[in-house]
Amino acid sequence: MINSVTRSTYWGARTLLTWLVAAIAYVACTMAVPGFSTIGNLYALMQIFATLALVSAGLAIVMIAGEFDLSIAATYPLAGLVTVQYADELGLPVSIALGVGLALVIGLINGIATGAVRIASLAVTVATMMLGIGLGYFVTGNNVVTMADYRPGLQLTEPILGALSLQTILQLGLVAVLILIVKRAWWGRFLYAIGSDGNRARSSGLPVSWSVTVAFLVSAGFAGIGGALEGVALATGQPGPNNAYLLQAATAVLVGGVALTGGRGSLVGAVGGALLLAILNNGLSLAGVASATIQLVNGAVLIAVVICDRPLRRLVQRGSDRLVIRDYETTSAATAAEAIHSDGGNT
Amino acid sequence: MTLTELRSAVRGSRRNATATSMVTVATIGLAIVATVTIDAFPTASNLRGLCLSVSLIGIIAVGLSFITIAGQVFSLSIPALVALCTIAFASSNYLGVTASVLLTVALGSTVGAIQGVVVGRFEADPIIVTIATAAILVGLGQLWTNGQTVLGTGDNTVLNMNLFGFLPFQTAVFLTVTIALLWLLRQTVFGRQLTLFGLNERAGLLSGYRRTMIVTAAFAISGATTGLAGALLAAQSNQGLLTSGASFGFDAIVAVVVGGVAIAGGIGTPLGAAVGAVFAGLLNNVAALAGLSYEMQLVTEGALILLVVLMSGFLRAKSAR
Repeated sequence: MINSVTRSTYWGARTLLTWLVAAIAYVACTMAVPGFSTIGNLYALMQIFATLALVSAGLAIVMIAGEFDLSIAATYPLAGLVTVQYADELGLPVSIALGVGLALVIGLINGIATGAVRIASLAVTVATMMLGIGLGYFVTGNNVVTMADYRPGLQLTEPILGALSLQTILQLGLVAVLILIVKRAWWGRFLYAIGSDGNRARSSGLPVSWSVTVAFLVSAGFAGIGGALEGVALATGQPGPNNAYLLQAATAVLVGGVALTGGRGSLVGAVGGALLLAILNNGLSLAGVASATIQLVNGAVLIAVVICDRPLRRLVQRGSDRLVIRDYETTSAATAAEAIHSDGGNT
Repeated sequence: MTLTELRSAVRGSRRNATATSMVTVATIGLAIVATVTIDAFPTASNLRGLCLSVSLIGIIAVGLSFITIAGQVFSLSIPALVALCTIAFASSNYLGVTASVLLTVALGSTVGAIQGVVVGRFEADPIIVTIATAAILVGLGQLWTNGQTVLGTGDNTVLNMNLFGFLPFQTAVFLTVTIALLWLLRQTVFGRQLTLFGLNERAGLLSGYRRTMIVTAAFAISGATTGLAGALLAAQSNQGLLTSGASFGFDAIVAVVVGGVAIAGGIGTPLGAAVGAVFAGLLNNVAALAGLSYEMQLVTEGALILLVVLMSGFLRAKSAR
């Protein structure tokens, strides 16, 4: 009883901590960087944050199920490239559907290979990542592609209420829907069960293959939607892997307290991690720091999180175990005492 | 040692042997077909170009196979490390060829060892750590060079000469490294420990092997060969550039996977990775000669590796049943 309470409190605290750190970072940036809290910059911040939150939420789903999706480094740019490339020929709705559909196909391959055939997700997603990047070069013919009609992009990014835009509202809405589904639907519970112990979940008769496949579909779909919207907004795209984005999404999810081993953490935490990273990147670039240094900082943050993660978790585990032992000892002492009493009553 | 253990050990080695020999047969077959059908293939200049492109990827792949065999999947920081090493080589080139090669290899193995310590000591995920390291390395390289090309000032003809008149120096290095690492894996205690550790980490730990030591050594070996490849690449044109070697990371992964090294660890040899590199290089060469575009080559490469991963998964699922 106490065991479950302490652990869930810790993971709840992790989520809270992430949001707290993000808030502190916001205040610090406001004070240190002039022009950070202006409405114009808040708009820019929200643009970064919404896309990162969308991709991170998808990745977080996969990580809660105990897997990892490297292929978002390919699906994210690929969806944008396809959208931009075919927008003039086929019209925007069809090209967006095509881009997101292609991302979903990659997600389906990942999901079936991992969930049903049970191949290690890292191996599968490395392969689909390479395939996706190759497809990106293939679709564009190794050129920078541009969209002649840039008006949809302007509509998409037109400020609403100062800081928001159609793009950010759409993306944050999707994230909110996903959070609700994971909280409310059985599928969300299944993901946590699979992440904490896949074999046990399988033997208990949970639909493991199906749940994992859906998780990969959501991850690829969200990365695809994020990439397609970004493509429309920029009206241009260049083939190649987007490792920087994968790095940021992975950092956001891990900072947000989702464990790499699966089964722990929450989507709200991952979104908080995305907010923290968005503030950090936006603040640094506004302060005039070179993009190379920002990338360096991102990498260093990720390494630091990875190093701290396990000792921190072990500490919590040990603490809760101690509580359990004390709990057990007090109850057993109580029952022993009771036994003596009842013995005394008999004789 | 029970009968099942014995049987699974035999089956493991047999599977590895078939995977590597299958690739060998495919490589030879492809070479014969190419010689007969494509006129431009068996020319001296094309073969030399083929040797050069295979050698660098091969050197990296042979080192990378140690990480995979130790059960740590892949390193995704290879392109960044190659780029950084070309810059390091060009910058230190004024010290003379030997000194700058040694410095570059030392840099590579140090970077590898640091990643190994993080992965081994803190039990961090190797993919995450190497992605993060790649970002840090690219950032450092950018700050170091401001994105400019660094020109070497030394005389590197030694690294580009032909041994005995026909064997490019890089190919000789490739062969030497392959044989040395094959010996290291097969004939030394360290190599056997690494293999067992990759095959069954828990059994390795219970036998008293130290996780940090083995994982660090695997990453350091991969880093050293990556550094060596970076030095040789920089010596080709006497320059270091942050964008050089961008395709090496994927090519090396393709070589390792195609060469029959199991992604789960413990199965496969550096020789398999070397054969895989020859196969991948040959495939790219033939594709280019046959008029396939660069984009199409990338797609074929991706599809090929996906196929191998899926097939090995299906086979394992079958044998487990």
